[in-house]
Amino acid sequence: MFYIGLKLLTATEALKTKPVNPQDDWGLVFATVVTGIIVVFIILILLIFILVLMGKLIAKGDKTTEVIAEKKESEAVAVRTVDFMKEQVTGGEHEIIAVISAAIAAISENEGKNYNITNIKKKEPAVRSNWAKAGISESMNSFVR
Amino acid sequence: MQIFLDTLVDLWKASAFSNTSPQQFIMLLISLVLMYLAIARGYEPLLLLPIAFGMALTNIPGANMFHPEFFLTTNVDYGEVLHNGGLLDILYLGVKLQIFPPLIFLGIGCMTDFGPLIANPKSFLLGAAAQAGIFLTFLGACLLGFTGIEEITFTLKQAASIAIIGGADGPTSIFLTSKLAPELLGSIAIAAYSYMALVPVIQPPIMRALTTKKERAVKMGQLRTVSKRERIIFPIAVTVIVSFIVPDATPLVGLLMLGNLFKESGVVDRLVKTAQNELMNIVTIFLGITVGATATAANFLSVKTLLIMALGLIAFSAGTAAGVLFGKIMYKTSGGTVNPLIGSAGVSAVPMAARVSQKVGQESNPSNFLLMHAMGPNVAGVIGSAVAAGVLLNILR
Repeated sequence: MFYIGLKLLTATEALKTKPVNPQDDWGLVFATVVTGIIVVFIILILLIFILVLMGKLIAKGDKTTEVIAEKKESEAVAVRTVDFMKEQVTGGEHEIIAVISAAIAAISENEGKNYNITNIKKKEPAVRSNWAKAGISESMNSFVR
Repeated sequence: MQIFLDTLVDLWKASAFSNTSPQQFIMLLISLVLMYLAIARGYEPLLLLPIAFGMALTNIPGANMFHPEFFLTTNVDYGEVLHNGGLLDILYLGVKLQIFPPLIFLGIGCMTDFGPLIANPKSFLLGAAAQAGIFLTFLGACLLGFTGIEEITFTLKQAASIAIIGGADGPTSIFLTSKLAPELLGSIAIAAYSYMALVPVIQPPIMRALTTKKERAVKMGQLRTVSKRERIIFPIAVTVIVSFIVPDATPLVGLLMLGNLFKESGVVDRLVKTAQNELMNIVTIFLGITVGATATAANFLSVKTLLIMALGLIAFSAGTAAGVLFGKIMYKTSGGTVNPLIGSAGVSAVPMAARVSQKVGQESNPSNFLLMHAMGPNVAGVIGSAVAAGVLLNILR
């Protein structure tokens, strides 16, 4: 490695004074290949260390401020979910509610936020309201000749 | 009547019809083929179409839109360029003075999400591994000197310019070539953008050949959430570290990270919109047309151009192979949690290479979603290829 570095230094100095073809200095060619790969790896590995360090420092800073808020919120979520399920659940809707709760819990975990389920309402099939129908006919009127 | 006939004869003599050489005619045909590829086949049309048209304009004799002889010397006479140059000579100054490629990178930075890379920093290793293709091709191009045939021998600077095609990064290729080997700029740019468009064709066979079905079917875990603070610190940290170690890479990496910082800061929305749209489009037009203009008949029609195309393909393939092989190493060392296919995305053809990893992964396991995991090495490759260009520039300038 020392030899390659030395060869590279001396060859680079020589480059400054005359044009170079590969056949003039094969040492420089091989030194360029090896040095190039190593330097690219070194720089990007250094960036890995910086990113890992940054991730840990920032995560540590965010955790201390969020711990207290999370505890209060998670207690509230547990109470609300239980109350909600007692009041609203009928027959075969248990499974659907369980699936929705699991999905919301997964999203909460991924985003690091707490989402509270306040209401689960069955949506009726899409039927346009009279206002929507009026809006569409007004827009389409310009195409009618 | 005689005056009328004499005028017609003079017009005919001055026109391109009587002055076009067979080589220029061939170049015009090649430019038509490239226009067909860009328009009908959709091969990177944003750059290939202006390149193709620039090639056509420069090979029309008498148009005097571009004079390659102004720029081939080490000390360019800018006064002569401004006084006697055509439109494309003036616009080419943006390439010669290293203005356009960094501005393209500014726009790319505004459009790039480095989240997957920040969430999984090990992706940098795959981005680095894929750049090995550049240096191996550099070696290969230099070894052609062993033949002793002058027509297929490249100088060190030319070999480096050809090798950078393996980075799969158009602006980086143009940045390096315009400094080291401007006489090859047209051929190298066309090769670089053509192969970038052919990523979905070139990469999959190499990926399948170097991996087993079991490796291709590996599902990777979900990426962690990246905070806004990390997204803001990342571009600043990368700029400082890379610029301090390889200052020659600063124009590219610095502008890339500036664009990203604009986007992530969230306080300069107008600048982001301009950089992503108007600025990027203007620079793309100027860059494409002037790079195409360097492809004159004398520069382009030679055995060296065919060799550049062949070496460019080798560089691309070597980069893909190096990335996949390093991915296999990571697969083994991580106990089978890293899918080697994401290594091929280390070539910086964003986001096409990541999509190819996703597609090939889904062939083995339809429930496998590798896209976001592959985006990490993909964007790391952009930084890696800029660093590689900086290293080559530093050694060979």
